[in-house]
Amino acid sequence: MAATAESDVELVHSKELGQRRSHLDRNPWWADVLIHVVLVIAGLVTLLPMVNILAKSLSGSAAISANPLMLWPRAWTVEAYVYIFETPVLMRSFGITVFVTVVGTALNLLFTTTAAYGLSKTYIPGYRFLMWLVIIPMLFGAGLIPTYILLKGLGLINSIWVLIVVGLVSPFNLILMRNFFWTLPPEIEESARIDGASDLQVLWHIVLPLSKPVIATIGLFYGVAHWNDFFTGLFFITDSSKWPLQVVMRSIIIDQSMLGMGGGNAPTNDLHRLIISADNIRAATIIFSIVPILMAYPFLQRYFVKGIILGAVKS
Amino acid sequence: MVNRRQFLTGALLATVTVSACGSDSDEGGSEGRFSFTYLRPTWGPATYTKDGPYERALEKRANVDIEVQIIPVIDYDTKVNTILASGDIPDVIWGSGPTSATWKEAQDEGAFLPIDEYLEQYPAIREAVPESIWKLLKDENGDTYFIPNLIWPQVPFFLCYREDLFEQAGIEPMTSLDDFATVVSKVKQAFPDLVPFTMGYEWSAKEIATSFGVAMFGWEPSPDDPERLIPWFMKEPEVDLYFWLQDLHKRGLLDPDYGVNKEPNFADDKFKGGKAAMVITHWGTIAGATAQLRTVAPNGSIGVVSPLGELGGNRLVFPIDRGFYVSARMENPDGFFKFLNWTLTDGSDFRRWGIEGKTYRVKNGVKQPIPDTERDKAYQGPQIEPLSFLGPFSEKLDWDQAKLGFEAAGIPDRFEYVKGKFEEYTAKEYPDYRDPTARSETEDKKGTQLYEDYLKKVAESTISDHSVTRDDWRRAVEKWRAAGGDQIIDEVNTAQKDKSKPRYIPQ
Amino acid sequence: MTTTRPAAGSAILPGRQPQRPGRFRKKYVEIWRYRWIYAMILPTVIYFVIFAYLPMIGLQIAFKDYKVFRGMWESPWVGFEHFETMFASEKFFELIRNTLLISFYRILFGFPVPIIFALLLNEVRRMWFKRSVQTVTYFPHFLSWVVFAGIVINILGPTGLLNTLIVEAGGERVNFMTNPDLFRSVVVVTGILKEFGWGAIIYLAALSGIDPQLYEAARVDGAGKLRQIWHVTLPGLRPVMAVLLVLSLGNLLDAGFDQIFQLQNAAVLEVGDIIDTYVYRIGLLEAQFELATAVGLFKGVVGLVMIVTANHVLRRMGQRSIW
Repeated sequence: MAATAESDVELVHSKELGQRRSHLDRNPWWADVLIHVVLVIAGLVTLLPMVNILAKSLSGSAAISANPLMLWPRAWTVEAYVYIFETPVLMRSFGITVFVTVVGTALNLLFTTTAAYGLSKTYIPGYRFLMWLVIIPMLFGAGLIPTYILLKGLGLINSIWVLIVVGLVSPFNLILMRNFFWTLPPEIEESARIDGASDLQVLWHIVLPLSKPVIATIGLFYGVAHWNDFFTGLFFITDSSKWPLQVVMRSIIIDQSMLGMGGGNAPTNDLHRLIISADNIRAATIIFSIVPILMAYPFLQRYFVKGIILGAVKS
Repeated sequence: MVNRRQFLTGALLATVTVSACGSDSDEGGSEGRFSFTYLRPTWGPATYTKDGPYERALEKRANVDIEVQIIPVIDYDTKVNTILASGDIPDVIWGSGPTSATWKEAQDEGAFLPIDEYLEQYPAIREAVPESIWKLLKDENGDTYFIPNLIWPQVPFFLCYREDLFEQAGIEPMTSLDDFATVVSKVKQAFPDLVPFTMGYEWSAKEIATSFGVAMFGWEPSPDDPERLIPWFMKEPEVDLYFWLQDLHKRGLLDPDYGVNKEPNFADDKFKGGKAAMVITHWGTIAGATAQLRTVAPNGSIGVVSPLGELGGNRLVFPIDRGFYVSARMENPDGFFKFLNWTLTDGSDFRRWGIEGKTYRVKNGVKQPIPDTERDKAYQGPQIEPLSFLGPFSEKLDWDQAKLGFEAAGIPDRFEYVKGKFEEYTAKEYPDYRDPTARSETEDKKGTQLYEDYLKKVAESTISDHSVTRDDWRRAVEKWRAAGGDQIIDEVNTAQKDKSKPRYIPQ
Repeated sequence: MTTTRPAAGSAILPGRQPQRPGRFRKKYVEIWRYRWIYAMILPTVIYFVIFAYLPMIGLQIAFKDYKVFRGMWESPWVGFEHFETMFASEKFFELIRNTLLISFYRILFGFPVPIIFALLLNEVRRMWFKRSVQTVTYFPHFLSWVVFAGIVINILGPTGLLNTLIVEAGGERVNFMTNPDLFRSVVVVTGILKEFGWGAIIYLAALSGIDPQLYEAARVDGAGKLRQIWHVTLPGLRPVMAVLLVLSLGNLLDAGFDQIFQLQNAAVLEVGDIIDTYVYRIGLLEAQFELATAVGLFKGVVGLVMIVTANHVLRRMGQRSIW
């Protein structure tokens, strides 16, 4: 049933898309070429660093120090990936990060969407006060220690939930989403209200379906923030078996061997200080930590390319 | 709709993964054992897995239960401060010790346990640390709180060269500061595609500095008054070193990447990758570097230049790098000291060697550690480092270990050569005269800022910024002194009564 | 008397009585009418009160000599000492100047790039091409600055790719990383390269919300391609642009710590050192949370002033403001 509903929507969209296309003027051929050239350059500039890291992750480490800018693996080996998949902590922290990203983003969206919708109603009494309540935390952070003490009081230190609770609502994302709600034509909501729909019903049945692009966007912002967050895990989780991927990854990709006393360089003869992760392991860890989140994007992308307003008005 | 379904499946899967992971960590705890919490930094990858086979073996032998928390060293100081502040202090906690203002403050405020009575009770702990260091660590009331993590103070940075290339071009290595530039110029001419000479940081030049007659970055007696110590940037010969290096840089003899590349090992990497002809590097890396070099230059061979000139020697490092405290609130500190004592007596072998067949093997009746890369993952460094405590000073320079490194690299014949160079370097000692526990209030309060505001520019950019002159340097020091630097010097000299040359290695 | 009293009373009462409860009632009725709206905002309000406002009590350490073990409340007050540390520093003027300049350049050059990029993408009809370029350009956002800066140095450094090419072509080595005249440009340009794809996402979402009928109408009016962009597309993006611009002004004193920390070196400190890198070096490395907190407060106040001003300007321009 779900599938049918989806394909119906698909149908409406593609019709509109075709319609819309015919209304857009074609560019002259030279402009078209120019646009493509610029975009290809933009794509290459951003793709090459990634190719470089990928190539390193598949190379022998000696070959890497000789060719730091390689774009194709040399002394081909997959030992770095074997290392990763044989390191239980990396696999476990990967699971934690996936959990936090999925559940965290869902909760982020729940809180943000409802509050943003509420705050898009500028006519409610106390609107400005509530807005300021949201804006102030964006400008003034409380600092590490008080936050630690608070979280400890709430029993959240050393709990995976701390990774979700800290940053549950981002004022920035809230304001962005609220502004998107403003751009929706008010007539649709009004007509629904005349039909007797409650605020919640309007939000769920009318506003949300119309806001897929912005929900996808804000969801992406939240999801990526969860994925990339090492700070929360590092500071509020002391049990290393609960660390998210980024904390473990950071200790692998940053060379700490030179960090002696007080940040200076006190060298030692201890051999463990001289052991650092090989360059290919560092590169493979980066790839391992990025690829899953990269794959989320094409999945969300379809929401950015489709026109929706027209469909909404029709229905 | 489809999204929601997929999303839920994903969430469910993730929960399963997490809870499945959570369950296996509970089985390690056993009742009746003495247990304590332990927080320490780790230098390697933070891939420690709780209750691994090594940990279980250790806990069984020592009859303890250690609850380990690790923090990658790069973030250790920041995080540990939040932990101190929250009052959530683990039973045993690593820190910088009384040489750091913050830790001294916490120590004075009663956060940690005075340990003198335990040192009396467990002499093995006392004996692991040289008496001179215990003396240094005592506070104003004669109490000891801190158990230091010791390091061997002789860590020479060797000036290394490509023996094969030098031979090929008929170039003799330098013997003094005077012919240094000449030799490097010859190398540059003979091998225009190579970086003639590279190094990573100012600190890499610490052994070169000895040839100028100074202990780099150290306080030393002023030339006018041997009873007055002055900081490094006021020592004329050390300033000479900076402008000497600037000259090399200006002439294209020192790697242009110097001061720009942030990769901590870029200089070593260039040398190992066959892209540089000379490098200054930690003496202990030579075996591994040779092995790597040979993958790109099969005939590659690394030579070590003897200390330059009459004065050349070794700038000693302070023999303590962090250490640990016992919390004043620990319920049964005796249990911990008993355990620590065990690691230095009955458990000494286990602490040092680990498990036969896993972390070491016996060859011709001699124990040999198995190199990390050949070990089962569960017995590699990242699993063992979090469970290490106090290593006795006497074990800190281990020639047997070093020899194995050369054997593993396939160049056993080079071991004696490198050991000989080590002895050449360490024949002359250049320690920092400053006792780091001698505090200056002004320095604690604004020392860093004074350095940042007045000295950083000259101190850190002289070598690569050719516009910096000796006059700039002199003016910077004058400003620093006027803004509070003189006060720091006075306070340090008042606090530190003994201004004789420190000796770290017991004779 | 007996007659005047009720009269006087009634003279007051009839005027007020219906009005007073009426106002109150009206407000009450209004709040009750929007009870579901409030209910939707409430969880977030509670969240902010607990997790953002409660720990703000800790901002007091900006005015204290913080004793780590004794704790926040027991530590002695020191007034504005930590603010003085910052403001009295010889470097203060330089730091403010660098921070503002880098932020300003970032907005001036960096703000339009994602918009232009989104507009260009919008002109592409080949879906596979559009999607690929879009996906690829957001890759670098996921690389931390530690990693990305390493690549930048391998390209722009003294022995990097670019200089190798220049030297091979017979040119003189260019000090991209150590030349004070070039450093800020390097920061701004590499910052744009890393983030423009990511920054364009929000505009692409906004573009997808523009009513195609508007284009049709413009075409009927005889508007050409560029005019359509000018009169339909850009106005459609304006609300997003406005809110992003205002919010980025609130962060004016954050000039990008991670990036600058990784790229700067001693030779370019005069032009490249910003408030955050300085505070990191003298504050956090030495566990001086007080200084970091004091500077945080200062930055917050400046951000507040900026946001209020920008919002005011926005309102005057007839745009919908943030509050």
